[in-house]
Amino acid sequence: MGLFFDTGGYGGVPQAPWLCEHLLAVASDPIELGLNLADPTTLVVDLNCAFASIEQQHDPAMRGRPLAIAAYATDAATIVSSSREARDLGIKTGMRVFEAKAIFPDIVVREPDPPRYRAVSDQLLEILTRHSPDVLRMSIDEASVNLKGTPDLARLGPEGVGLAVKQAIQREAGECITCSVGISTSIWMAKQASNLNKRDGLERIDHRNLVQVFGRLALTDLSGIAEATARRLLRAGIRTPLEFLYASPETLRLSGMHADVAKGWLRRLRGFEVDSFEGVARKSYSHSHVLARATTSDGELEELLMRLCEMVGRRLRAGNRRGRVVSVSVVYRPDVGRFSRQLSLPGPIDTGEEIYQAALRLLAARDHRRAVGTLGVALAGLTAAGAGQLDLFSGASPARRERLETAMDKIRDRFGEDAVQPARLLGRARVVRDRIAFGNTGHPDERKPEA
Amino acid sequence: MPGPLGQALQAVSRAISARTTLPILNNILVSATDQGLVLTATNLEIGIRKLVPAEISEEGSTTVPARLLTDFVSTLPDQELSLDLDASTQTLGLRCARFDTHIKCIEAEEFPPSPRPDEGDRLEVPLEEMLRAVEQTQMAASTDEARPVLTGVLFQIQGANLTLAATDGHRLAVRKLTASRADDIEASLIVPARALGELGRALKGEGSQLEIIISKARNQVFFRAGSAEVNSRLIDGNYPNYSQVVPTKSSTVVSASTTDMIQTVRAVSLFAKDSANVIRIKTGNGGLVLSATTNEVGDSQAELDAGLEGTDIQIAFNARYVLDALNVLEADKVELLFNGPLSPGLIRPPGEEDYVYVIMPVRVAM
Repeated sequence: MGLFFDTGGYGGVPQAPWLCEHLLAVASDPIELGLNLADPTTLVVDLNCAFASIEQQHDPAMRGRPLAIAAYATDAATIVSSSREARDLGIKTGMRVFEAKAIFPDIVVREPDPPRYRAVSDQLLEILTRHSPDVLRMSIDEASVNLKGTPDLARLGPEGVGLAVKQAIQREAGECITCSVGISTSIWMAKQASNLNKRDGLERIDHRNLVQVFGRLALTDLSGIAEATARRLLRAGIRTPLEFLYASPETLRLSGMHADVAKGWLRRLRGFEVDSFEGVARKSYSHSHVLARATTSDGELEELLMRLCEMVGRRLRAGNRRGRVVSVSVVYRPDVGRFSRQLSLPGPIDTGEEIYQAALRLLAARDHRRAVGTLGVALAGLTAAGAGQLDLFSGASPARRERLETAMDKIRDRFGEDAVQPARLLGRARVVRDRIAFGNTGHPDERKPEA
Repeated sequence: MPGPLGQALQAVSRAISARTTLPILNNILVSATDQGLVLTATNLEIGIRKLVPAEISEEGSTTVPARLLTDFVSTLPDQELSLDLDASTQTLGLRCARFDTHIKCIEAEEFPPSPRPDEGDRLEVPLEEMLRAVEQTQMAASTDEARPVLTGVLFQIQGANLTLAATDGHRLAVRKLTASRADDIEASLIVPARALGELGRALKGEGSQLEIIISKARNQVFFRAGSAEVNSRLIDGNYPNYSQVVPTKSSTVVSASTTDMIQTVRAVSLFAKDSANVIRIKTGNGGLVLSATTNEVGDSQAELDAGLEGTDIQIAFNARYVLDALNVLEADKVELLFNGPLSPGLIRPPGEEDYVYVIMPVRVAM
C-alpha cells in the first residue's frame, strides 16, 4: 500500500504506472484526485493586449488597426505587445518587426511609453482595492485580488466582482481597455482561468471543471511550463496537463524535477496556493539596448555602456540597493553569437561610475572583430543600501563620487533625466529609453521614475 | 616518498592559475639535478620553486600536467617512487608499489625561463616572524583589481627596519619587523598580496631565515628559504600615504580579552549578515555592548567585560574587518582606541608598537 499511495496533502493518488489506464477512467472524481474543494475567492485580472490597447485608447487613429509595440522602431527590434487586430493576423509578441511587416506591411509600429502603462497599471490596482485589501501586482498588466472574507464576495460573488472590475476599467481607463478575469482557488489556477479567454473573458476553474479544462489544454499552456520543462516532462512520459495532474512525485522525479518542486506542482495543479508571488524579490537590475546600427567601435560602445550603467545605478539607488556582481552581455550582429561575462566585486557598489568601470573591463574581453548589435549590463548580488562604510582616506564625509551621484540624482529628480550628463555623453541622442521588464515590474522597492 | 613530493607538488601548484591562455603554464617543470628533484610552476606573475630530496641517476627535465601529477601522487602509498623520462616521446614513467603509470609531458624547453635573482638588494629576516607579519597584514589588502596598488602589501625597507602595510581603503594593517641582516638599503616596493599568501605554504619548515632579494631592474622580488623560492612581479604605482590615517590621539580606550571578543563578535555578527555586516559597539556599565540587527532575520546583543578609559562611545564597524584583526593579533588582550563615532578606530595588542590595525567605522543611525 505505502509503495503505491502518497498521503501527502493532495490526497491518495494511486502511483503505479500500470494502473494509469484504469485511473484515467475513474480518477475524475475531485475528492479522489485530491482537488481543492473550496469555493474560489481569488481573481486574476489580465489586461488584454495591454500596451497596444492603451496606445489605442490614447490615440483614436490607432483603433481598429494592426499595431505593434516594439522595443525600438527599427526592423530588428522585438515586438513586446501587439493589438488584437495584429494578433488576428498572426503577429505575436516576441516576433521581430520585419517579420510582422512581412505579414502585414502597413502595420503601425510604436515604441513603448512606460509611464502611460504604469498609470493604467496603477488604476487597475486601485480598482481592485475597492473590493479587497488583499491585492497583488503580478506584472505591469496583471494583478490578483483575494476576496476571502470581503462583503463583496458575499454580495456579488466572484463573477460579480469580475464584471464590476471590467466595467470600472473601461469606465475609468478607457473603453479600449478590456481585461480577462480568471477565478479560482489559487493565484496560479486563477491565472490559468484568465488565460482561457483572452478577449474580455471571465472564466472560472474549480474542482467541478478542472479535469475538463485541463483536457483541452497543452502542457505549455500552463503558466510556468515552457518548452524546456515540457521536454523534460516528456522524458517522464508526461505529454498533457492531465497526465501531469495524475503523475506521482516519483514519476516527476524522472523528469529531473526536484522532490519539493514536484510536490509543489502537484498541489498547484490541484488548485492549492503553493507559493505566493510575494516571495519574488528583485534579484538584479539591468538595462540593455539594441543598436540601430551594429558597431565595432570602442568609442560608441563605451558611450552606450556608460549610459546603461548610469541608468542601472540610478534605478539601484532609487530602490535603495547596492550590488556586487556586474555582468555585461553582447549579442553580435550580423554574425550570430553572444558574449557574456560577469565579475564579483569585493564589496557592493551603487554608482554608475563604479558599475561602468567594472563593465568596461568585462566588455574589453569581447570579440573585437565582430560588430555588436545588442549591449546589456546588469548588477546582481543585491544588498540593502545605507551601509555607510566610511573611507580611510576621504574621512568622515562620504566618498566624493557618492556625493556626486547623490547630487546628480537630486538634479534629475527635479529637472529630468537629461538635465545632467557625464561630459562624454553631452549632446548625444538619448538612445536608451525607459523600459518595462517582464515579470514583477511593480516591485514595491522601486520608486517610479515619473513620480 | 610520495609524502614530501606530494606536499611540494601541492605547494608549487598554487602558482598555476585556473584560467591560463598558455597551455604550458598548466604544467610543472620537473628537473632532476645533482641536488635533487626541482619543481617549478609559474603563472608569469608568481613563481614557486621547491626542491625535493631524491636520488638522481640521470639528470634531465620535462614539464608534467600539474593537476594530474599532483592528484596522482597524492593517491599513492607511502613507498618508493621512481620516475624515468623517455625523452624521445616525452613520456614520464612513474613506478610506485603496484602502480606502473605513464604521463604524456611537454618538453622543458617550452617552459618560460624563470627570472633569476642574479643582482639586487638583499635582506634577511627570521622566517617565522615574517610569515606572521604577512598573515597580520595581507588580509587588509584589497581584492579589487580596479585599484591594483591596493591589491599589494607595501614593503618599506630602511636599513634593518622593514615595515609591511596593507589597506583596502576601509582598514589598514601595519606591521614592523627588524631584519637580521641587511644591505644598507632604502626601498619601497608593492608585493601582490596573493604572492605573499603563498609564502607560508611554500616556505614553512625551510630553515629559520628568509632571504628577500629585490631586483628593481627586473621589477621582481624573490623570497628564499632553504631550498624553496617564491618569486613575484612587483606592482607599479604610488602607494597611498597610509601613516597619515593612523590615529595619533584617542578619546576612548577599551581593553578586553581577545578570545572573548572574537567569540562575541562572531556570534552577534550572524545577525548582521544581511545588513552589510554591521555590528554596533557601545561602551557603558563597565564593559562593551555589541549588537546587530537584520530586519527580516532578528537581532542579537551581548555584553562583554572590558576595561574602559575616557569618554563613552557608540560606534559601528563591519564585523569582518574587526574579526580579521582579532584573529591575527596573537595576544591575550586587545586594546581598542576610538576618537569619536566617525573617526578611525585602532586595534592593537596592548602596549605594543609593532602592530597596528586601523578600521574606518560605518555611519549608522544610533
